[in-house]
Amino acid sequence: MTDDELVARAREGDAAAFGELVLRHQAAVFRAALAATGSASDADDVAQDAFLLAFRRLGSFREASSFKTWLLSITWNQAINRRRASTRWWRRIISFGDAGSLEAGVEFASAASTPEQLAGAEELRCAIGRAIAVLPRKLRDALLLAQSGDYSYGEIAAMLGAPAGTIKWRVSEARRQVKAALQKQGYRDAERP
Amino acid sequence: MTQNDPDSLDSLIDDVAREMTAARADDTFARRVSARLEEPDPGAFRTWPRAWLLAPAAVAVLLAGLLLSDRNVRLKPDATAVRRPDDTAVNKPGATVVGKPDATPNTVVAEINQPDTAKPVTRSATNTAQESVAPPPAADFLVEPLAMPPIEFAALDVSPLVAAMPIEIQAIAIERIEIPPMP
Repeated sequence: MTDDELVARAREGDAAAFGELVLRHQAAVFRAALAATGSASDADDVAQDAFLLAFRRLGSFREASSFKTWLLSITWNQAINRRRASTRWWRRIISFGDAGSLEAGVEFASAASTPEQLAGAEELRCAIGRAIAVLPRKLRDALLLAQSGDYSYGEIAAMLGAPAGTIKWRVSEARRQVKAALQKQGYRDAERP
Repeated sequence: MTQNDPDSLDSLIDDVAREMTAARADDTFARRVSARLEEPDPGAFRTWPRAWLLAPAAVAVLLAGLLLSDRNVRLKPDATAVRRPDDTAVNKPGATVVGKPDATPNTVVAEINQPDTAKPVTRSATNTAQESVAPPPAADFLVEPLAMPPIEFAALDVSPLVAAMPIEIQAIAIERIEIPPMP
C-alpha cells in the first residue's frame, strides 16, 4: 500500500493506517530532528510532536509533494522551534568531543594498525566532530542531513527552504570549512584540494 | 586511509557527520505516538487553563476599576460644602470673570470658595498660584445672562484716504509685424 493510500485512509479516521505511516517514516523523522537538535531525547520529543501535528493537519496536506517531504518539513519546523528554545544544543556541542568520539574511534580503528595510529585516528575524528558542531547552522544542517542517507537533495531542499543547488553548495562548503578548521589545528594537508 | 588523503578526509568527514545522526528511535516510539494520538487534542484544553488564569486577573482589574471609581467620587469636592456665590458678587461690575480665576481678584475667589461654616478670610495677594488657579466647580456657578448696554458712539472720525499717485503709462511702441501670405 502506498503512502497516498494510507494517507487517504488516515484521513477517514483509520488510526492503523497512520500507524503504518509512522513505522515507515519514523527513522527519517527522528534523524532530521536529531540533526537539528543534536540531542536524542529532544529528537524523540520533536519526532512525536511532528507525527501528532501531521495527523491533525492531514486535511491540509495537498498532494503536490510526497507525504514524506511534507512530514519532514513539519519535523524540521518543530525541531527548529525546539532548537531556538533550548540551549541543550550548545551543551551537546561542548560534550560532543568526549561522547561522540568513542564509537567513531572504534570504527576507524580498523584502518589503523599501531597504537599511535589508533590514537591519531580517534583524535582526528574527534576534531572533525568538533569542527562540524561549530559550523554555521545552515552549513551544518545541510551536511548532517545530506550524510544521514535518509533524504534526497530535493527533500533536504524542501525541509530547509532552499534550492537543491544551494544545498549541494552548502555541503561542499561545510566540508571545506571543516578541513580549514583541521588545518588550523595542525592537521597537515587537510586543506589540500 | 590516511588523514593526508583529501578524498579519504572527505569521506571521513561524511562518516563523522553520519554518525552524528546515527541514533535511532527506540522500538516503543510508534506505540507512544499511537497512544498520544488516542489522547484528546490538548489544544482544546489549552484555552481553559488560560481562561482560568485570566479569571483572577479580570477580577483584579475589576476591583481596581471599582476602587478607582470610588476614589474619584471621594476626590470630587462636595458640592454642598461650597457656598453658592453671591448673586451680587457675580453681578458686580468686574465680577463677570468669576469663571476665569486668572483674571479674578483674589478676594472674590476666596469669597466664592468659602464653605458655609468657614470664617470669611481675606486672602492676601501673596496667595499661591495653585490656589488662585484652581477653578471652582462648574456646577456651583449659575451665571446669569449678561445684559450688555448698548454701545454708543458720538462720531466716527475717519481720516481721509491718501491720494494715490497717478500712474503714467507710456505708449507701447510696436514695431511693424510682417505676416507672410498664406500658401
